Amino acid sequence: MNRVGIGRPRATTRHAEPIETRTPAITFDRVGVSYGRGRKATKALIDFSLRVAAGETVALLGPSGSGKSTALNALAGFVRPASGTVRLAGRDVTDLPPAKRGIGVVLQSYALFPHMRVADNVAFGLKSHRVPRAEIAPRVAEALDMVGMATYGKRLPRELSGGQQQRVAIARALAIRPNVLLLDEPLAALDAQLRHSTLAELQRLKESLPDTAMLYVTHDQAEALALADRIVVMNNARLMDVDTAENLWRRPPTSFTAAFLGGANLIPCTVGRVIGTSALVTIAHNTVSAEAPQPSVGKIDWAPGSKALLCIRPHAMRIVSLGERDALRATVVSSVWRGATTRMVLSVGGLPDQLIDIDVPGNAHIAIGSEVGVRLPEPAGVLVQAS
Amino acid sequence: MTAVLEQPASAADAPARPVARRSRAALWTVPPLLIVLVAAAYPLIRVCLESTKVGDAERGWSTWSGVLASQMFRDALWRTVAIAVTSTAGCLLLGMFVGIVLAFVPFPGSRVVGRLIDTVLALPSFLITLAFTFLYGSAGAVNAAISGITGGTSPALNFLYTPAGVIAAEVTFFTPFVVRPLLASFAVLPRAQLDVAASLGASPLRVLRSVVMPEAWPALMAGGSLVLLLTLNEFGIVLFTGAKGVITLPVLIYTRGIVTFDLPGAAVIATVQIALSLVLYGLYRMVFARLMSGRGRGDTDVVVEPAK
Repeated sequence: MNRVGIGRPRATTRHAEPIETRTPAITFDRVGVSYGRGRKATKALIDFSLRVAAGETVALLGPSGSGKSTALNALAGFVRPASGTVRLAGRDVTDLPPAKRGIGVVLQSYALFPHMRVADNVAFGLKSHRVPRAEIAPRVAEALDMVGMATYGKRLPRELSGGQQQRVAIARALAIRPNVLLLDEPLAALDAQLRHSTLAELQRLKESLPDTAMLYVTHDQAEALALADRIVVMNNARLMDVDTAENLWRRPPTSFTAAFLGGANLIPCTVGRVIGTSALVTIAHNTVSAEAPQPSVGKIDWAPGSKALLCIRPHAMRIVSLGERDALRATVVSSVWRGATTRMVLSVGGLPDQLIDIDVPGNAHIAIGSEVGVRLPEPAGVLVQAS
Repeated sequence: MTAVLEQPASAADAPARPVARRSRAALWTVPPLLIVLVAAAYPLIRVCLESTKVGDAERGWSTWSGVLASQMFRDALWRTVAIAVTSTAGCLLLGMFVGIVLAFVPFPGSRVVGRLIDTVLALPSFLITLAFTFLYGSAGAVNAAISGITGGTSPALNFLYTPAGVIAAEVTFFTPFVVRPLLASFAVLPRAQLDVAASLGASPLRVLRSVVMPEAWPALMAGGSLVLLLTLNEFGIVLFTGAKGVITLPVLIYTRGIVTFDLPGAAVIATVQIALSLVLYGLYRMVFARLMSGRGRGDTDVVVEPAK
């Protein structure tokens, strides 16, 4: 699929600005949202710019209060931006009421109308859009069928489980055949097992809607990685980074993204020799190789002798016996079994005040306080600019 | 390690709850029961008994037949019901409008208005009538202003001493009884439902009709029923307007009992008034229960055939 549009990148983001071939389905252009007035005003979204192509799924990922839901609300028309413009397929909708935008919205709380049966809930949008009466029933059936709820039309929302209610909410949003579908933490209210199965259904649904642009708000990086073509990382009401899930995971542009997306060890290091996008860095009196990526726009000067952070994922390191060649000497501080892996926290000699996390497969029985060796991968990790 | 568990006692061996403790607990219900009997039930029974009194010692139904056959009683009964129903309808319409504006149309001072409504609930009803007299009475401010403009000598507004005046005063005084529960029900309505309804293309009117009001029906019913009962038994407003042509059942009871000292006759009308109140209350409970249990029970508007 020809992907177009991309968020306004930071000067240091490392992805290529794609060539625009057609109008993006969603455009945020320097959108700012404030709550309250005067001195008491809180900036919930600052200078937010993003473009989403038709058929593309973009996840807004960030901690609570990072502005991701505010961005979605501004797009849906639930809040009015204080600055900037919001466009849908090139049309300025900044001041348009929600009813005139034609967007499908699915919220965490489902927001089903409790006094209406499932079929009436799904038909609500169709009736509001004055769809001919004869068309309503087949379209309701089609939407319910899409989410596997075809036989539940006569049930009341209270007679359904959380997962079923969420599926009805999705069917209701899809029934109006929107070009843009907004999902605000749709799985947050479900238990772990149901979340897993509903996520799989959302993946399937995404494939069946090749022309629908989706904006998916979540604080769960697993959902973002599983669903999104691109991920927007947000923090403190600002867009931090935007790129494909794989790029952000493999070469996080900022320390925040590195830590937030999948968790990472950010180890202070000194840059040595740099050749192209490879570098030699020194950590804990050891010299190791690392990736020194360059952004598509601008350039990072990985000057020899400069300070940087080496981003190493917890699963990439291995615990080996003490004295093994090139292994770092470390002491086990804590160990927590997580089922498939054991998360070990180690203090590494030569790295004062720095603890590193390592995921060891299975249930590792290593006594707390014991000394072990830590082998870094080759290359050891990715360089991230020290903020 | 082996743990030795004690054998659980069988159900038959389980100690029964002591009968003495249960009867002691039942004793706690006696004082409130006595208070209800002495303070509420006995006076009502006494009123009913009084209505059957003929002369000093005899009992019979002649007072009943006399009162029920009188034109004045029938007029009063009709007028009472008409005023109560009209006032309730007025309160529901005005209350719904005020409630919706206060809850969904943000304007400066909406909180003050909300608090004013609470204040009206605390005031005695005759104060409203007094205010109405100062405003719309023959020598009231509005008539004075109209006379000042037109130069007329007779009052232009002359509705206060008619049933319309009573209804206007009752609507003014009792509307907060509808607004308050309505605002409470609006407050618990999830904002997300309104947002989603709007995003689905529904106009504000459709959101109100299809999403908000079905959720607010119980509150509206509760407020309306309360107002119906209160207007049915309202005495202060009717008496204070001094409307000679407006005789309701409570005013008739007052006239018979206190002015002409016809206690059996007053008791007959009071008994009718009690019956009317109880019937209306029973009706309200029945409708409310049916409405609550029937919510969402109706068939769906959309007949869905599984998609092919």
